[in-house]
Amino acid sequence: MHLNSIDLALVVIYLIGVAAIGMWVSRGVKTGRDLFLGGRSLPWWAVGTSLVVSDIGAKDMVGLADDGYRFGLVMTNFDLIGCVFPVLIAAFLFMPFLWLAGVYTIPEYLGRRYNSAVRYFFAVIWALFMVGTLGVIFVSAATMFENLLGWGFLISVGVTATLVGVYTVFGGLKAVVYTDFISCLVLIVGATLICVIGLVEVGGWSALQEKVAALPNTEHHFQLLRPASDPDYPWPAVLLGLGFVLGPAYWIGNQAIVQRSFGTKSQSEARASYVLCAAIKTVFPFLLVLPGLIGLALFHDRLGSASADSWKVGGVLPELVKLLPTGILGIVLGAFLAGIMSNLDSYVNSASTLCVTDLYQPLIRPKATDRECLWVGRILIVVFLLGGAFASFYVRDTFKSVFEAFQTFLSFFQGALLALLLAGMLSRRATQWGGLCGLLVGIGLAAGMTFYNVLFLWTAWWSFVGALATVIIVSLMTRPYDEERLRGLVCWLPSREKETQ
Amino acid sequence: MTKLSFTLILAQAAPLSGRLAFAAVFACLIVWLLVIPSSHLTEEDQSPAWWKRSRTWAVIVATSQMLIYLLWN
Repeated sequence: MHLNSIDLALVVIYLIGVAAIGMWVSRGVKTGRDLFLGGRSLPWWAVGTSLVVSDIGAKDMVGLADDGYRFGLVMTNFDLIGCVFPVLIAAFLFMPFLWLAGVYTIPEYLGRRYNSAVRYFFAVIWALFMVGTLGVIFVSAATMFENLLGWGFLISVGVTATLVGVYTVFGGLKAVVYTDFISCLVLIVGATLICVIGLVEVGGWSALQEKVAALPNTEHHFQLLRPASDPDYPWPAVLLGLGFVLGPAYWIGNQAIVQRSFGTKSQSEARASYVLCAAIKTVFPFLLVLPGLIGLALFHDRLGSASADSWKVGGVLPELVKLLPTGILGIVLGAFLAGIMSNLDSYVNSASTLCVTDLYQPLIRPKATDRECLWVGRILIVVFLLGGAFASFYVRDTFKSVFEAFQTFLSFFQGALLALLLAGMLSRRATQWGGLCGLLVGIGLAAGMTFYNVLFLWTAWWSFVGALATVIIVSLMTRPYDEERLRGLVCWLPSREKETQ
Repeated sequence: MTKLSFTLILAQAAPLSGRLAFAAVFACLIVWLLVIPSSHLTEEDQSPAWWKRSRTWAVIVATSQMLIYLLWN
């Protein structure tokens, strides 16, 4: 399939527009603080939309369409109980607290709360996770480009990395957030157009339900929750693993997410940005999963049945996009590019921030000037893009779906991360040894359960339980820090300045 | 055998109990949002209009989630 001139023009206009805005915003970037936190001057509405598209992007457009095809509406839980619930808790409990602590990164907070070993450990793990995630995003991009434009895998990855690198290297968080705002709008319009045109093609909502119900293995496709006996998404695992562990860990402890709220002007703006994100996330997941059901109704002959073993990986969205008329296709492809760029720029900027703040400064150059940090950050952005490009080959050859790859990477360490964050923020009794042991037990459990092919939702839940129990037990046996040492690091112990105010 | 049948019935009926469990999570969240002291929320110190308070919007969003889980299926 080839784009005609109108569609191509729309895509080019969109790309030039976004790159120009990114470059224009980048004029004010003179320090590491500007690059990493946008000078702490970002408005709540821009940060709120940036939060949405930092989470939902190309990997979700491709991945959720695929998994919507395979599993149906149960996939919306990743954005409902897995996002709205933790985002609202984060907005009113954790974000204001972290904002006041004045940290750049989550490992930095963990280092101050526990010890340096915990900080470096999480910094390395997050950096590796981000390389993996960049690989997932590159695979999403390449899948679409291969299907729509006939580009090879390597060319697709190279073009995507170059496009994002141009404005992220120079613009930093500010460019990321403002371009994300545009991306969010285009993404919503694009996703809505796919749903509307797809539904018209199927014959409406009732026809969609009838056609899907007539296919084998689809009895739960229109249910938000599946029975407890379901092998893939039993509701207790969704509630405990996703709602109580993966979601909160992602929205409270993910550097790519949290960094945006650190860039706002005030605590109130940080909170407002999170609430806006939750509001958008109430409707967005349906726009991403519905294409999967439409694809199932229209293309099951070509793509295979919904049973996991026999279906065609990554093919749902490209098939749907082929239904779109001239002009609309350009807009939707622009939306897809928006998703790729917003995902990539967020992760690459955050990975760079994390490495400079938690590894380069404390371990390699403690006396590094702000200007030096700025340039190291920029070089690291290029390094991470290259690392992600290499990782994309592994992801492509190893996982059945890009969404599965992303969730598998997350479930390895999210349980331990959440246990340490909760214990550290909510209790003054958690000790550095408790934190370190909890971290090792949590990740060890997750690795063991993944090795034995335990469902990733249960892996997340039990690694969290194991890590939290270890933190509590070891902390009770070891000596905690003095109260003064913990001021500003535990929710119930405000810093002296705050207390005076 | 009786125990096995009961487990089977529970598993099949789970979406109803699941819906109630998910709705209960959001109900607890709404209660918590409503009882947070205003002194903990900086913008509420200045008493802005209700529609400018992030707490109001958070409660609306959480309520919509609760209704989605209760009513959808």
